[in-house]
Amino acid sequence: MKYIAKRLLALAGILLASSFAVFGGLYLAPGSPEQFLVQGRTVSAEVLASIREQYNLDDPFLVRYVSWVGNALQGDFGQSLANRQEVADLLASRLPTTLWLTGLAAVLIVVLGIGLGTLAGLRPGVLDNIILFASNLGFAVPTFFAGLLLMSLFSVQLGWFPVFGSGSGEGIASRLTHLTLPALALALPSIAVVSRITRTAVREERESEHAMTARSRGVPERVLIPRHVIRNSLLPVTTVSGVHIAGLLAGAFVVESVFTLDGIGALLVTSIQQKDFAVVQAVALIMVVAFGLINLLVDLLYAVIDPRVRLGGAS
Amino acid sequence: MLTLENVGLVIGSGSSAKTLLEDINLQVGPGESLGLVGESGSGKSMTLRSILRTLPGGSVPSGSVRFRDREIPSLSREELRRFRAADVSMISQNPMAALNPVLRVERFLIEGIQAAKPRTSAAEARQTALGLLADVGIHDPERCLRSYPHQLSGGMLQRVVIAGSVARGSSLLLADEPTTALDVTTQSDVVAILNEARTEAGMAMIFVAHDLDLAAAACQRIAVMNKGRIVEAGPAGEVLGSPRHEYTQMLVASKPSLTRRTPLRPIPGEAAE
Amino acid sequence: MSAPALNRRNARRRRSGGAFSGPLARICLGWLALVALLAVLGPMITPFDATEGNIVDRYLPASAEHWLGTDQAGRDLFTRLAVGARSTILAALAVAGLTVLIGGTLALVAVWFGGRVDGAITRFLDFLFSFPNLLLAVLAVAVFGAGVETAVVALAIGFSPYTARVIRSVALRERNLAYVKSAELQGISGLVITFRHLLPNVKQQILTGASINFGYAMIDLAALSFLGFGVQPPDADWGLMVSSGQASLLAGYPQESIFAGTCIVLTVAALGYLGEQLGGRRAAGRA
Repeated sequence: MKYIAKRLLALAGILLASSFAVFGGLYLAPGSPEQFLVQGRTVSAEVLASIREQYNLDDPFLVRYVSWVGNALQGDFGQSLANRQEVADLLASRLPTTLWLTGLAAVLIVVLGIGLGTLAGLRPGVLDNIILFASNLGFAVPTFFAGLLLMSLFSVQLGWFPVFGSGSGEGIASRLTHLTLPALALALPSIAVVSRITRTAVREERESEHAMTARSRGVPERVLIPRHVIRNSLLPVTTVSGVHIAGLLAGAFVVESVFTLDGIGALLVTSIQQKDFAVVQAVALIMVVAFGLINLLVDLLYAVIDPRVRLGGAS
Repeated sequence: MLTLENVGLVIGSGSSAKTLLEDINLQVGPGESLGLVGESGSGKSMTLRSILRTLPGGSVPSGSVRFRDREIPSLSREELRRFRAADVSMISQNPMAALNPVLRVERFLIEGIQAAKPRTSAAEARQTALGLLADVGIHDPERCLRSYPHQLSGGMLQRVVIAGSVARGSSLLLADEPTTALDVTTQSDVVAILNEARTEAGMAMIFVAHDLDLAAAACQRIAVMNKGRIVEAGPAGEVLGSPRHEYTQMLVASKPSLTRRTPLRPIPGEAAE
Repeated sequence: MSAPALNRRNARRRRSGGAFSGPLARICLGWLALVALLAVLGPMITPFDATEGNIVDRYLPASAEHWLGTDQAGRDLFTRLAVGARSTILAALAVAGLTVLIGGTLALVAVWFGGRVDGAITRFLDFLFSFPNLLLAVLAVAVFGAGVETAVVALAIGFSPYTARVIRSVALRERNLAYVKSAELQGISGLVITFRHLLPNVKQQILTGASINFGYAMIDLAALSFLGFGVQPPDADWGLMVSSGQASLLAGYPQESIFAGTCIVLTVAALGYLGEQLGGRRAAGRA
C-alpha cells in the first residue's frame, strides 16, 4: 500500500512537471505568443483580442498555467484555432480510433511477442533461428515503412484489407478489418523486442536450478514447462512488454498518418502543421498522462505477480 | 540396493577430452549411509549426477548403475522420470535456488508427491505434507506451506526439502553438501533431522561433503575421492582413525584441531576451480 | 597491474577478439562500409542531380544509365539514395554524439558532485523519461518549426536519460573506489579525475550505447522526415523518400519507397547486430 502511494506521488510530481513543460513550451517559441498562435493566418483585431482572452495572455504566466491545468482537469482544453471547435469534443471524436489501434497492437505484442518468443525458447533449432532472425530484422523496420509494405501487399495487391480509413461507427468487424494492418505495423518493432526477451528468459529458466531440481524430482515436462519455465520467464517479459505498450499511444501518430486514420495521433500531426497549439497541448498532455499511468500499472502488475516484490525481504 | 560398477565419465572429445570419473565402484544397501568425501572438483557431485542421470551436456558416461533390478543408463525417458519421482531424492547445496521463487512451498511438496504417486489428490498430498513438516521440526506447518521460499531461512527450506523426499516415499537419498549454505548452528540440526528422517523411513543415503568429520558423523561408511577416483573406502571410524591412503592422511591432517598445535598444512595438488 | 585491471583487460581482449568475426558480422560491416562510401562520395558517383529531374523520364525502370530507375519526378533513384545516405547518416550520427555529450555530462556531473546535485539531475532524468522520445521531438517541431536541426536536438535530449543512467551507474561504482578517493584527497581537481579515471571506465558503455542510439535515431529521424517534420523536400533523405514514394507505391511503382526503406532497415539491423556483439545487451524497454 505504501509502495503504491509512493509511486502515485512520484507520478503526480512528474505529471505536474511535464504538464508545465507542455504548457510552457509555447512561450519558448520565437516571437510573441499571439504572433505564434496566429502565424500564417491573417487575423482581425477582434480575433487577436479573443486569442489574448482565451489564453489569458494579460495574466502572469503562472496564473495562466494554473487555470489551464484546472480547466484541463475538468475536461476543458479550450478551442481549436483551426476550426473553432471545442478541443474536448475533437478529442472525444478522435480518441476511440487510437484506443482501438493501440489496444489491438497491445494484444498483438502480448500474443505474438510472448508466443513466438516462448516457442523459440522451447524449441531450439530451425524454428528458433527463423524467429531470432525475424526479430532482429523486425526491430529495424520503421513502423511507417512496415505500414506501407503491409498496405501495398495486403490492401493494394491482394485486396484483403481496406486501404484507408478506421472503420469508425461501422461496428466491431469493420474496426478490426480496418485496423489490423495498422496495428500490426505499430506493434512490429515491439513484437520483435518482446519475443527476443521472452526467448532469452525461457532459455534461462529452462536451465535454472529450480527447474533442474523439478526435473530431477521427476516432475513431468507438461507440468514443468508451464509452471516452472514459462511462469517464471514472464516476470522480466512483463516489464518490457509494459514499457512498449505504454509507448504505443504516443507512437501511434506515425502509423495513423500512414493509414490516414482519424485518431488523436493524426490529429496531433495535422494540428502541428496548422499551428493549432491548443490542440497540440491537449493531445500531448493526454499522451504523457497515458504513458505515465500505463507504466505505473505495469510496475504494480509486476509487484502482484512476483511475491518477492509484493511481500518484501527475507525472514 | 544401489550398485555402481566401473562408472566413468568423460567430457569433451579428442585432445580436449577430460576424465571426470574413473572406475567408480560403490554399493549401498537398504537403510545404509555412505559418505562421499573429497575436495571440490574431485567428482563427488558428478557421481551423484551419474546416478540421477542429470549429467552435463556433451559428457559421455560408461559403466553400470544398478538400482534394485533396473539399469539406470538404459532406462527410457518415462522410466527415468518415474525412477526420479518415486525412488530417489536429491537434497542440494542451496535450498534457496532449488525451490521456485514465485511459487508457495506447498506447491513444491504437493508437486513432488503427485509426481511420485499420480493418484493422490492435491488435498491429500497437502495433508501428508503438513504432517511431515511437523516431523522435521517446523513449528507452524500451515504457515510454512503458505510461505514463499524467500520468506523462510535456509535451514527451514532444507527441512522442507527433507520432508519432501520422505513424502515421496523415496528409498534412496542423495545429499549434496546439504549444509554448506547454512550457518553453523543450523548445520548440526539439519544433519540430525536428516538422519532421523532417514532411519525412520528406512532410506539409504549417499552424503557428499568436503568435510571428513561431518561425513563421519552423518554416515556409517565413507569413501574418499580424489581426481575422479575413489582412493579409500571403509567404515567411518576406520577411515578417520587410521587412514591408509596418502591423500586421506593429508585430509585428516589438514583439518584444524583444538587439541593439537600443528600448523595447517596445505594439500598439494591441483587447486580447486 | 592490479588484478581487477588485468581482468578488465582480458575481458576486453576476449570481446574484441570474438566481436566482429563470423560471416554475419562481416556482411554487416560490409554493408555499413558501402553506406559510408555512398555518404562520402554521394553526388560524385553518377552524373545526375539529386534534386532536379526531367518529368519526361519519370518511372523509368532500372537500366545501365539509371541503375535503380527514376522516381515520379524523373530523378535518378540511385543518385538520390547516395546523396540521401549522407544527410541520413550525418543526422543520426549527430543525435548519437549529442546524446553521449548531454547524457555523459549530466551523469558525470551527478556522480562527481553527488548529494543534492545528483538528486536534482536524477529528478530531471525521471522527468525526461516521462516524455516518449518521438513525442518530445514532435513537440519541439511544433514550437520551433520543422527541420533537421530541431529534430536532431530534440531526439538527443529525449535519448540522453538512457545513456545518462547507464554511465551514472558505472561511474558511481568507480567513484567510490579507493584510488579515486585517494586522488581526491591528494587535491587533484575533479575535472582531471573525471577525465583521467572516470571517463575511460565508461568508454565501453558509451560506445555500445551510441551504436544502439544511432539505430534508434535513424528510425525516429526517418519517421519525422516521413511526417514532413524533418528533412524538407526536395532534399534527398531516406525517410523522406519512403514518404514521397508512398503515392507511387500505391500507383504500382514501389521502387522508391522499397529501396529507401530497405536501406534504413539494413543499416539499422547491421548496426544493431554489431552493437550487440560489442557486448551491450540493452535491448530492453524503450518507447
